[in-house]
Amino acid sequence: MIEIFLNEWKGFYRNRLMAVVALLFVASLALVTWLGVVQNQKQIESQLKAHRHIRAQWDELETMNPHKAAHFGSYAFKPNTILNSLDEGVNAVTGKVLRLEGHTQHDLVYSEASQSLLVSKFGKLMPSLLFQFVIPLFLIFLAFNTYAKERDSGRLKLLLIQGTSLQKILFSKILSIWIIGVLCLIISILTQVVFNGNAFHADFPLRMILMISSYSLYYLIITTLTVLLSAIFSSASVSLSTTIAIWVLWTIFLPKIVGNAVEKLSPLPTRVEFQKAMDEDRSKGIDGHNPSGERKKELEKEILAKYKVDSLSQLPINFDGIVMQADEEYGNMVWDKHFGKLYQQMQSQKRNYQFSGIINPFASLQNLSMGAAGTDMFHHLDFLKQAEEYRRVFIKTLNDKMAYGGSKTGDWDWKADSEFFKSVKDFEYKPISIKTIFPKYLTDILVLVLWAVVMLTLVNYTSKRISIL
Amino acid sequence: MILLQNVHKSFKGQKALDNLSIEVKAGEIYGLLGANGAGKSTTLNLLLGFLKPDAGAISIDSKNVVNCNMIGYIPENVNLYPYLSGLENLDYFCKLAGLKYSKTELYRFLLECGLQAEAHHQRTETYSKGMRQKVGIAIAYAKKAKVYLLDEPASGLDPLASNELSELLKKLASDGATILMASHDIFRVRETCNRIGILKHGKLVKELHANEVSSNELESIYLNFMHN
Amino acid sequence: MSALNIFLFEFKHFSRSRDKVLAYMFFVLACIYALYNGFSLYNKQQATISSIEQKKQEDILKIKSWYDEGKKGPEDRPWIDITNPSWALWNAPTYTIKQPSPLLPLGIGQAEQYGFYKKITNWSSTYDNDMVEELANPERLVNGNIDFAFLILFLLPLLWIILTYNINGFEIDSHFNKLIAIQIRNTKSWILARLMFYVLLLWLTVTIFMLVVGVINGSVVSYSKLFSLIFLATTYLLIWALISLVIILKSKGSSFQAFTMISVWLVFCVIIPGALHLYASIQYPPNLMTDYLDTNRKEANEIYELPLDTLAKRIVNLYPELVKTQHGQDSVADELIVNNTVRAINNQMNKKTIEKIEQENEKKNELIKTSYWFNPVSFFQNKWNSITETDYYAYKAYRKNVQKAIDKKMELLVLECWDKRKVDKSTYENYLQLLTK
Repeated sequence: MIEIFLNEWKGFYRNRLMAVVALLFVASLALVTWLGVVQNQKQIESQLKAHRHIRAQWDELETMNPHKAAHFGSYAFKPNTILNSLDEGVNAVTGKVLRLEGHTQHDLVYSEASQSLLVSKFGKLMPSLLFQFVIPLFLIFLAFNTYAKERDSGRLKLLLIQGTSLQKILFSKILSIWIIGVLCLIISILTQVVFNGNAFHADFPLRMILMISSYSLYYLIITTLTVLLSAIFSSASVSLSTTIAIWVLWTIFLPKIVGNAVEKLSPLPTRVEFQKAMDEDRSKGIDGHNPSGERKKELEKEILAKYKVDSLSQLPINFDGIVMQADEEYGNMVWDKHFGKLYQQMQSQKRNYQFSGIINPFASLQNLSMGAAGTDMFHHLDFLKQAEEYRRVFIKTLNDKMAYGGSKTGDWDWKADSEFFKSVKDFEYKPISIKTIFPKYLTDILVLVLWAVVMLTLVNYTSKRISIL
Repeated sequence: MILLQNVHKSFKGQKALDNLSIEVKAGEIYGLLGANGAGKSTTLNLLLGFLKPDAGAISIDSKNVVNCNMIGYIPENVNLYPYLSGLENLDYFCKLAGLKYSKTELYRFLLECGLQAEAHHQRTETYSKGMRQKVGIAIAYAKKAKVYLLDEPASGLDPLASNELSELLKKLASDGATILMASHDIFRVRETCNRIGILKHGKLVKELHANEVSSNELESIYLNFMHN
Repeated sequence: MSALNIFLFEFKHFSRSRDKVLAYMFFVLACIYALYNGFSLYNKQQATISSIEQKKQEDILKIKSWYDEGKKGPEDRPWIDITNPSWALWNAPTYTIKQPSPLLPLGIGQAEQYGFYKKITNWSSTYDNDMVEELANPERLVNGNIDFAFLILFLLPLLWIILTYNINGFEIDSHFNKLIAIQIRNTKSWILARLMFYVLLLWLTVTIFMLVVGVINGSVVSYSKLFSLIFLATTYLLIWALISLVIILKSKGSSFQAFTMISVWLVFCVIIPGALHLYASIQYPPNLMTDYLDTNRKEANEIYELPLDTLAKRIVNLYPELVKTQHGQDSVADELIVNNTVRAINNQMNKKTIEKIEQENEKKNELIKTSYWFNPVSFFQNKWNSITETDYYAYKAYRKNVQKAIDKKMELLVLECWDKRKVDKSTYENYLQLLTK
């Protein structure tokens, strides 16, 4: 087998056109990876700059009423992961800026995609684009003829009569082509390490292993499929056109169709419907700014009883702060209910999409690639969750200051000092660990492994059944 | 020794070989003549083990199972790897057969099969058909094949190359090889082979010794069978 | 053989090639699916707009009933006084809507990246949170939608490749290309006639589907725009035909043709746009809008800290006609009036900041536009989206409309507040009329 493998490589190496193309390709891959790193670093810098700028404004607050400060609010900027430079995932279409304010949970806004004309329908020329679109196609072109040329030239008989088996020939050819894909991956990853090495966190090796394994499995599937079709079809051009048709179906067509279908299976509400439902539930709670609300009166009674006083003016604390926090907590409950449902719907869509891997291994690859790069929906939702958790702590700190900081009820002119504002903790996003995310991708991993096993079994079966004449 | 006894083979109900019996002894070159579709290639493919007979027995060197190690096969077109030299091709095919030869030995095989020394390191994409045929024979020769199966080996060769091939086969036969050669080329078969069989619709309609007939007589016998 | 005969014979080649017929049928089904998707989005947007319109009417009726009943607002919110212009205008529901283009079923474009309705209040700006896109699964957005434009720009060339990859290539593979050359004499015209068959087949298919949209949305569709789209699709198809002609003329066999054609597709549809996208992103990284955030947070806060007189003067500077209003002639600034109208200053600040942001975006767009000569697919894509009114500029125009509506409401608010207008039902109705003009 090793002889056939080495001979294939000798063939690639000695084909001048192929060698030039391969060299150019490897150079472009390294260049693209480097550009991806540059782009990512620029974005990370600008996110950090924006974050520091916004925080500095907060730290510069002299004196201010805490509730006014809650409306002054803050912003969370969605940070790019280091591996965003390999696969941008959802980051190009999701917003980057989240306003953190009292009473209201805002949306992530200002996506890159909304800031210019449409450029590429398939995304930026980042390593993921090459990994997912170009390398498989490259492997197809290397593999479609590898068996057919042996058969059509009659050399296959010569090889077999030398005592080697069809099985060995097919597997050696698959291996020799597959390794090229894997080498491309490794080159890109090495470039990534060289230019980005100092920024990697502890999760990096595991994420890289997941990414390399996923792509390697997919390349194995695509190479095996191509060689298999090349062995089954009597004409190389028919096998090529069939493989390309499958590539188009897998890479371009099915992800979109299945994406739409899963959205229809678990539909999301329109923004109007969603807001209406939220408003309805919200209206049942306390309105922090409405002194005559019934629920507010109940809370007032409760607090007066607790402090054993008869009127708000006798309270040693500021009841307005208590109301604001009660309002906040009710709002949080409503948010948890509605956004929880929304996120569940999104996750259910994702689960259904993952099952499409059974007919389209590319879907599993895409999922795993984004998951490993930390640019998938789970990481996105995790950011939103962490930002919301921070918002709650942030607003509670301000409301508590309002309530227990020394002011009295109705004293809206009371101001907290700058030291207090400086002491409010800043938002820091802690990237979710790959170990946490891993179980969510078991389906995709299993699907890819299953595809690879089925493909290899089919090649094995075909090698025993196929007529070589 | 090659032995086919009452071999039958059909494809989709169409008879390709009909009760074919041929015996080729060691040191003998047997020429199988016949029109397109007469069953020549089917016979070779059965001997190569690429096809199984529907009925009848096939044995090579008294063994019923095809043993690749003792068979050399030279197709009409020996398509070698164009990016490898003649020497590298030979080395590769030998390694596939589990044979490890030194360079000197490989040179010797090529030389003995008639490939000039200056061609050994040239890529086979520059080779003529005759040169490629010689490498093909060298591959079989290096295996120390006892049986050589040739499918239209002289087709497309110029007269000189064709003559060189005949001489080479005769040399191999004189060393004890059993050679079965399927061809359309009446003249070349008459010149190269000891015995000749004429196949028609999968049946062996005539068998004769080459030295019993001239080329012209062989041609008229052949045409006679074809017209009837 | 005449060109017509070659053309007619090509039908036999096509109809007897199961793979090609299958690919074609697949494309036709995809077209139907894409139009269904387009119409779904169109109808969904229309339904949302209708529900907004309905809610607006309900709100208006409610407010009018307060006037009729002599109420100043809801009972549990006693601080609301709709006889005050500020509250009357706050309760005058105003929406700016981007109606979906009747040609949206033919190209969703960037429609899913933007909001299409906006409630205009005294606090509004064109980069508010409610200007964002509809709720959607971000991973679905990454994959994008199968819309008709996608089919034309990306799948049509692939179908073209499947249909034509073996024209002349098959003959070369089977070694009878020389026979053809001897029979035909002019191989180029033979290839051209064969290609023209597929040009006509695909042109008819695409045109019929586009006309169907014209018929379905007939009452609202602009036929000149529809024909522009048909012209664009035709040009695009002819360009691909030309590219294949060149490849076929240089052919070494069908595998060569398939390989070269798919490489050209990959380069023009994926690599070049992707490379430009990356370059543009490096040159102009995503705008985190800190200028806008500052204007709405820090600077807005600073405004509120200013003395009342200074604020009043700044408002008058913005609307010089205010000097003639009742409050404009008062010697002391009224806190309530000034506070109710101070957003006019913020609006002005916002406009300036947003103009800068739009200029930044425009630089990126200019970069994209200058690439069109080597990036034709992006040109066709954006031209297509521009005709179906789903491109960046369509939404920029929408943002302008939003800004105009904000300005109008703001001006009305300032003038009416400063004029110390007492609002009754007819004034309220007049406001509604003015705001919807």
